[in-house]
Amino acid sequence: MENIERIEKYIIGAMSDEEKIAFEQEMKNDPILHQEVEEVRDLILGVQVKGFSEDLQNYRIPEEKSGEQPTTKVRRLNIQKWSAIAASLVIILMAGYWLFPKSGTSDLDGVFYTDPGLPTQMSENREYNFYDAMVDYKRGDYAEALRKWDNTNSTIGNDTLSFYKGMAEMYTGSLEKAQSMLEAITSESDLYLKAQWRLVEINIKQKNYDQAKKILQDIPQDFHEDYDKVLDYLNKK
Amino acid sequence: MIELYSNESLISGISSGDRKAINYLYQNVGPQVMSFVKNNGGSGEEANDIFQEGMVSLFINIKKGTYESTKSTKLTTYLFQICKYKWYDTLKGGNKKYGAPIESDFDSEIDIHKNLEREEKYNQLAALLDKLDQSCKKLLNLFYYQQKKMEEIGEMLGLDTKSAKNAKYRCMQKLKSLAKQ
Repeated sequence: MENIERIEKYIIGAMSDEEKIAFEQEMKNDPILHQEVEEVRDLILGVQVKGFSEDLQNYRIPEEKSGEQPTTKVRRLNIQKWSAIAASLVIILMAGYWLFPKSGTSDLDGVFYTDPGLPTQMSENREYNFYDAMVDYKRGDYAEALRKWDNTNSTIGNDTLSFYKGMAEMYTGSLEKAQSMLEAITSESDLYLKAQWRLVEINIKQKNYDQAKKILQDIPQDFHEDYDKVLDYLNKK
Repeated sequence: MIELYSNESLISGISSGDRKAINYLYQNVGPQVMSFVKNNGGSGEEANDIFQEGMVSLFINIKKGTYESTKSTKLTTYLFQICKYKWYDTLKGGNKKYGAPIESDFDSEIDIHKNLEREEKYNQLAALLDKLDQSCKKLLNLFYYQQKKMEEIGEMLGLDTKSAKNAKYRCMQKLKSLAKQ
């Protein structure tokens, strides 16, 4: 334990100048110690990469803004042409209304974006089945991902599996199954807040606004940049 | 609200996982990557994947000091270049109909192959964390990534500082043995 503590102290720069010089000298004379330092340095960076990658799951490239209207030359149209255009617009709008009924969540467009999944590491043979299904998930083939995850005996964290199974269930429209998957993730888990955030989304989809608000209020406000937007939306319901 | 960052503050922000710095890159480099991927046969989802991988690669390169050695390139440009070659690499490996460009298209300051090797190595090490129990994963994250003090971690986990230190030692040992398997 003493050695690992010293190595760590060296890596994180907590040694005094004197200690550091002595430690570096020791490393020069002891190739095993040198190797150990490199191993611990790699493990620490692995932990940091994991933390950073998980943080990135909360970000998305912003949708392109529509920007300025394209400049078009205004032409004079006679009244008959305007009437014809207006009539076609009415028909298009009515068709649109019947074909695409308003979901009622347009205020929240872009807030609950599709979870992109985890970066896939196919060379990691031990978790081949998990990541193989993740490839299907990322392609949008959620049914196939679910089929594979149901048959996997992956040792990957149970809550990671529950979370992505929940996401895949949600994207295939099985909201209740998604709900029970996400509810299984306990507050001990690193994925807890992400799961709670998605439960807010599911409850909004099910129009259970009170429940959605209740869950949202247990999530720290700084968890998501659109937190206030969702709260405002729910307050108006 | 767009905040202006100096190159130095972006480096230290990304290195410490600062949300504002991450957000700044998503807002300012993300759309460029999105247009590039979409103009080269990809979808919005693929652009987000590539950008995420590019950010991880940038993080590793900053931590390893590899970015420092190419410092004549602005960090935002560097990130865009990483994403660009990553997308070319995807086109080359996949069955997309667009051909991969010749390598001279890439900025010579980035060693593409070494970069990919590094990413693979650290992504594999990162994946090992999923094999630890949740408390170990959390403890190591709090100490090494979030850089919290042991006293604070102890309080958060309901342990006294000494037990938290011992637990961290055991977790590192487990991680070490997983890495050797």
